Amino acid sequence: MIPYQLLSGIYMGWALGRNDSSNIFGPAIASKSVKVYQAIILCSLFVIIGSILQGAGGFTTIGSVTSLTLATAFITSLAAGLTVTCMNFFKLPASTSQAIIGALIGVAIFRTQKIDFLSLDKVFICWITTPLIAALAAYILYKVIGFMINALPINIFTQDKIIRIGLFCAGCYSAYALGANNVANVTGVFVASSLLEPWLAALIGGISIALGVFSYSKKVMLTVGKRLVAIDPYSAFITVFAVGITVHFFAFVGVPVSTTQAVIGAVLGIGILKGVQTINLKILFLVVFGWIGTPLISMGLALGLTLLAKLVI
Amino acid sequence: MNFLWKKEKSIISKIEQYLQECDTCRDHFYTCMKQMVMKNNSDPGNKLVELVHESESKADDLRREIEYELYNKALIPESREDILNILETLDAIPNMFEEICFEMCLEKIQISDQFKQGFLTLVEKNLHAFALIREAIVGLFYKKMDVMDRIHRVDQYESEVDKIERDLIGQVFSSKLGKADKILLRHIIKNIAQISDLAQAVGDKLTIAIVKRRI
Repeated sequence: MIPYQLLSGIYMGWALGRNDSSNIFGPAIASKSVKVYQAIILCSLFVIIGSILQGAGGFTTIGSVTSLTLATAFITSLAAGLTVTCMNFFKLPASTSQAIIGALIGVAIFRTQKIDFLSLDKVFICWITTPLIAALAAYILYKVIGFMINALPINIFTQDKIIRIGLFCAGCYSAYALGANNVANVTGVFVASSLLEPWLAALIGGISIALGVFSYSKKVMLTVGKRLVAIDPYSAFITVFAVGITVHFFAFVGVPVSTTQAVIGAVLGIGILKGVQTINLKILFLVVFGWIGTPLISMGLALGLTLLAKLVI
Repeated sequence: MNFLWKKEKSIISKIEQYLQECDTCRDHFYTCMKQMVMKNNSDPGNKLVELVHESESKADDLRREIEYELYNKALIPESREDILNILETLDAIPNMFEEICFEMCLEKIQISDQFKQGFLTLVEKNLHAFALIREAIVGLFYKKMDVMDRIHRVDQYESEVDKIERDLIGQVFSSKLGKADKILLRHIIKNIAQISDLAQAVGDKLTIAIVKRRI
């Protein structure tokens, strides 16, 4: 039987799947490279594979922030999940990575526990460098792949085909990277509280993210996809590919990061290359809000939930 | 991955058929014009006019089928939009072939000997422009060739055609023909010259498609 505490983790995974899947497969759907049901199945499958094969790396980082009991793990996960849901409701870009770290700090503050600031430093550096690395990756990919496509003797149909296959493959790869990088946000706290073994946590985390992907509405996926494809299909492909590389890179580092901020960085990188201003004050605000606002909201929720739990129990 | 190729193959094949039908329409138009201009055979029952009409209708049907398939199934929306724009602009040319033939027939237009050669040159120059733009389309859709060079040559033809058109209209209005005949001839000359304008418009669409695809 599943311990009830794990339900908050599954909820968190569901929120993550809903929040992030559009960044990954939206452009492929909008470009008609895949049908919605195919995208959902592929995205879920690759998220689970990524979680199982490479997801364990982030568990150590999540566990190193502070010590956790089963009860605090439950509250942390619930607070982070609620933060993401609330931010989605108010149409604000949410990052599960920042939400879970904020919740961990909140719980640690309430219980006057030691916080490992060395681990947090590493996490903060990764957050800040995420859009920068994504921008650099997009810049290089755009140039290199563009050079190869221009050099090939291809017609309009073949170029179209290359971009559609690219969107399809980049979507699968990014889904894999999402699972590998973000599963620690979902079940990392339960590994830290010794409820789950890392392999089981990766499996459950992957499946719960896949549940979120499955419950995602076609309309939203298309909206996000079309917004990205609106740049132009080649740039959308590069964006998704750069996001996959960035998130995968941080899976090796072992720090969960935000796919939304990676997308913003990648679009900025392409914008710089094309001499187009793709970033404005509003987007800059959203990035900074992701870094500061998300963990603060999550921390506040975690503090409130811990207080509530203390009063009730 | 079959879903990526099947629909696309059908569209490529239909575009090929469409272009072939445009060629047939052009051939009939040329033969028809030669007959009507040189032999003054503008009988409404002229079988060649019917042939132009038939091939134009077939081309129209094929274009509609391509549009239906493009709207429903294949390609990235951006590619779909570019291909539709190119085909719709190109489709105006067979329409113009048909319109000119019908006009010549229905209005029983007779070309005086002094204008015959000018008319034929005008027709031929415009058909050259059409042939070039057709090559440019094949270049974009099927082979990698210097599409921009062909588009540039279409522009040159269009300028030449403009000059021939002005000269011919000048000659017509300097002649001793009646005013009504002059006006009818001017209208026909303008319609023939419009073929290269339409080819140029296709060239503009092709240029946009090419520039959009430059990475």
